Amino acid sequence: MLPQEKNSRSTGMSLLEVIIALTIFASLVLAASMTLVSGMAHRRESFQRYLAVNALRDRLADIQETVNLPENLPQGEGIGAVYSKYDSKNFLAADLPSGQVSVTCFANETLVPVALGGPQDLNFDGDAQDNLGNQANGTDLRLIPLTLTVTYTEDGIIRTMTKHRLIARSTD
Amino acid sequence: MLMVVVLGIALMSLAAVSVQMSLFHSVAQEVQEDAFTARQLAESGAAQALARITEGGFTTPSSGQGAAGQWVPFSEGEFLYYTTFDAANNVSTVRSWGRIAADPSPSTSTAAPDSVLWNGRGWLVQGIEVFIKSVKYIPETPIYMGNGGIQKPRGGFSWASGVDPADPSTWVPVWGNPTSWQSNWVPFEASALSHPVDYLYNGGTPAPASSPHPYNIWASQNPIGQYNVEAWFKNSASGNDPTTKLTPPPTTPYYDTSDPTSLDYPYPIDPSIPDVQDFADDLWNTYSGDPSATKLWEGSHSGTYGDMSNPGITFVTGKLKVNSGRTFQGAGVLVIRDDYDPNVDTNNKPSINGYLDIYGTFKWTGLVIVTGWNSAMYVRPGGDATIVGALFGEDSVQSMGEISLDSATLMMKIQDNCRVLYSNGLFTTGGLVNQFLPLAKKEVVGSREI
Repeated sequence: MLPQEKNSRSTGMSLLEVIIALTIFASLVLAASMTLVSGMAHRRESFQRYLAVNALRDRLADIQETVNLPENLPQGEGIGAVYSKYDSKNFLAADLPSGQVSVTCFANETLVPVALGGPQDLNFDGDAQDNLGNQANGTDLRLIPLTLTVTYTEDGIIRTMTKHRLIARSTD
Repeated sequence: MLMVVVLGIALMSLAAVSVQMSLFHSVAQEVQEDAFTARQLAESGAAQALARITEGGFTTPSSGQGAAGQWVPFSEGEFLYYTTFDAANNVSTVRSWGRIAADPSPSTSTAAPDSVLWNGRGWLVQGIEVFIKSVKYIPETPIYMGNGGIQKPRGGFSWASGVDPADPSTWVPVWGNPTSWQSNWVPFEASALSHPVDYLYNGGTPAPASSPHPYNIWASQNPIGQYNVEAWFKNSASGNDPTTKLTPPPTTPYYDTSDPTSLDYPYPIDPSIPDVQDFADDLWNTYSGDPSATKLWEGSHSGTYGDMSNPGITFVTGKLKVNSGRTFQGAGVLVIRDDYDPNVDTNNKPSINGYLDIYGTFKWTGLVIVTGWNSAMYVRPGGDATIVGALFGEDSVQSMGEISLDSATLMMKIQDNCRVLYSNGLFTTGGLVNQFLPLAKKEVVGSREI
């Protein structure tokens, strides 16, 4: 009888052992979950950066198309329309939460930032002192430095991405 | 217990794999963003090269100093471009790269990425190749007006109230202060030659081609120029048929006088005409430093400037006056322009205007360009002018704080014989002045990643 009692006691788990096992298991599950959640956040963040890049790419393509159109200022077409159409304007970035793209056109030759090659001759008249930031003189623009900033919200945090670009007319 | 540990380890492994994938995805995304940035740098360099080719008169621009191109800081990185030029086909090929540091200590290589000397360690590079085709503009009518706007109070027309420049039926006699000169009788011939290049030095006075001939009389860049030209002729004929003073009258089967939008109209609109001011600026930028070019200052001049065997470029800054009893003649390209220099002048107005003032005899074979602020052409009583080739005219007007390239029609006061005889053979390949014509039309004909 004694050996039998001894065997039955050795095959089970004590309450303490169960609690320890569950604690370890729960800790591992918690750690794994936190890691997975963190990874998902990473992926979401990188996906939104991908969308942000796409928003900038789309806006640049839109500006290039405007630049390449024949000059028609009332219709907002042609290189002369770029400053009034895009400078200091915000554009919706539809795929991004609260996303928008803001554009800055540097049409005053003396105020082109050094990082963008300024001061810079933008109408190729031989100097870098002209202010081409109005519709009448904007038609003289031949090269436009741009800054595009996309802003969007991610988990309540406002994120931004800024890119710079020179743009010129590619059709005659 | 063992089972719990095994399950836990498996779970952690899965989590670790997921984290690695997320990190990988994140890094890949970061690289993609960096590639986008480098791409913008490459395209910025290409845009600068393109603008320099299309607007600056360059055929082989490169970044920084030297033909090979240098890395130029821009935004978060640098760009480098250089250009090669295929003279046989007038094609400029721009190779442009953008690079951003992908490593804290990238190589210090200054070579272009297509060079054997290039060391790309630590750089993320994107490149683009752009092909730009340049075309010489071959004039196809005797007379060209630039943008042909309306200038007040002088040069071109000042319209009375209620006049619609687009509707000739509303036109009334020109008014302004002073009264426009176009009411004078104009013994004017705008025609073509059947024998193109044998006038000044190889023969006598040529007869214009007999009617019909396939060339338009006059071309403008836009409808305003067309209205001005038509009104000019109309007023020259004292309000009568604006074609009556032309030799031959544009009433031949080659002309479609019913449709002003037709290219067969005697005064067609041709938007492919280059801006005359740009055309003159290109010539100045290309040839003003050439020792073989003649540069005259304003005043009275006579003599011979180039001939059929030795055509050249002659610039006149300011008024070119040909005195009575004197002859000014030559062959090649004659550019008469004002002295406005945007690098120096800040008053938005030249100190001297460019114009042609003929009291004596003026004979030119080739291209005559009269442009600048308030530019004009006068043939005074007793004067005699003959141009074999073509006449380009444009008046740059003051606009919003600086001299604008959007221009008005050249003033013309023709009080004695004036003949502009178009000669196609001068301008086409191998012709007398073909070599001097600027590459006026430039367009991107292709691009690819490199």
